[in-house]
Amino acid sequence: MRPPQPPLVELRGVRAAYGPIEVLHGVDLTLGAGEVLAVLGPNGAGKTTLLNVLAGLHPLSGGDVILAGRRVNAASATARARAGLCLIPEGRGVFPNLTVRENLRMAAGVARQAARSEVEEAAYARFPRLRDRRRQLAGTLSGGEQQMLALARGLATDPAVLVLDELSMGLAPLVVEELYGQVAGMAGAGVSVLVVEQFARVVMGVADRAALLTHGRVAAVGRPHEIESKLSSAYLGGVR
Amino acid sequence: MTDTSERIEQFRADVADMKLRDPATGLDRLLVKLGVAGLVAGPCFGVAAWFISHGTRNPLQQRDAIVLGLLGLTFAVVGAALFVKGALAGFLRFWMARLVYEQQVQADRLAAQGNGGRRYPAG
Repeated sequence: MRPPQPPLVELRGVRAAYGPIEVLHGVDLTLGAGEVLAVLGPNGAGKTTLLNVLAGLHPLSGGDVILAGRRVNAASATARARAGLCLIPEGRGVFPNLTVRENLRMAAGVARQAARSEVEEAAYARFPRLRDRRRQLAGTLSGGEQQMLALARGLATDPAVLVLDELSMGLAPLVVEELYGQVAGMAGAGVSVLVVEQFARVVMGVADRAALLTHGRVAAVGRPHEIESKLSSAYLGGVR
Repeated sequence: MTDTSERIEQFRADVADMKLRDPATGLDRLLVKLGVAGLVAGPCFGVAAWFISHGTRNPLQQRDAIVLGLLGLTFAVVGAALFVKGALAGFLRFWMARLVYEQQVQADRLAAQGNGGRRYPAG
């Protein structure tokens, strides 16, 4: 019998600070292969910092980041990205002064076993709207199109772990639905997804598990329906 | 896209092969400090060599002073290179982050102008 595989991502007692102010106070989370984990929480809970720590963009002040069973605290963001950890940051993670096509070509530079044309075609197949905009500067796209481009660029790198930060921020509900449809498709194909959302409802339908982060601590972890009942009392202030 | 289980195995293999630098060594900072030390020590060696060579008529001692002066020059050149490398890397990282941010702000401004003053149209 094969020994059980460690989770793809494990955060163990993660602490992080901005100067003297600690914002993560010992966060423990795991993400299995092919799992979708939603991290929910109000503004200022430390969600984005947690993702930055995982991606290697923010230094740890304590605890461990473990990928595929190996402690990688000292690994650079580049090394983690090369291994297959793809972070799509909050807002618009695109190069605004490059065209849609050029943005996709940037991704082709780090994509595994994929030619530029394949990367472009895969992106256009996922998001047909981007094909019409391929010669347009990314900075002049609408918010939804920029987010589509960011997602397409991330997916072009063939990630093993996809980390999404506030995918729905500032977007129309229909666009959010379309984007999360793509995320669900990726998860269905077996990619592990860690998604941070302030607006819990949009992600609950996609997630296998959810974690509630408040004041830099994990307040609860469980199935989405178990967490949903705790949301309003924990941070939404009555909003359901 | 590669087969999922194959991709996960590849991920595990890539993580296992990852070269990790021990952050406790702080190699970058150490190199910059060594660079500064070289920059300081180099001229000191040069001055010392000048005094040694002028304080004696013994050609053997004068040759030692020449060696000392050349050592000082080497320290200064290597130190300067290390310092510039460390300082420039930090500066360029900051400059690039700032450039990307400024371009994003500029693009937002143009998009808002072309859109009747509305910012970031959703969808």
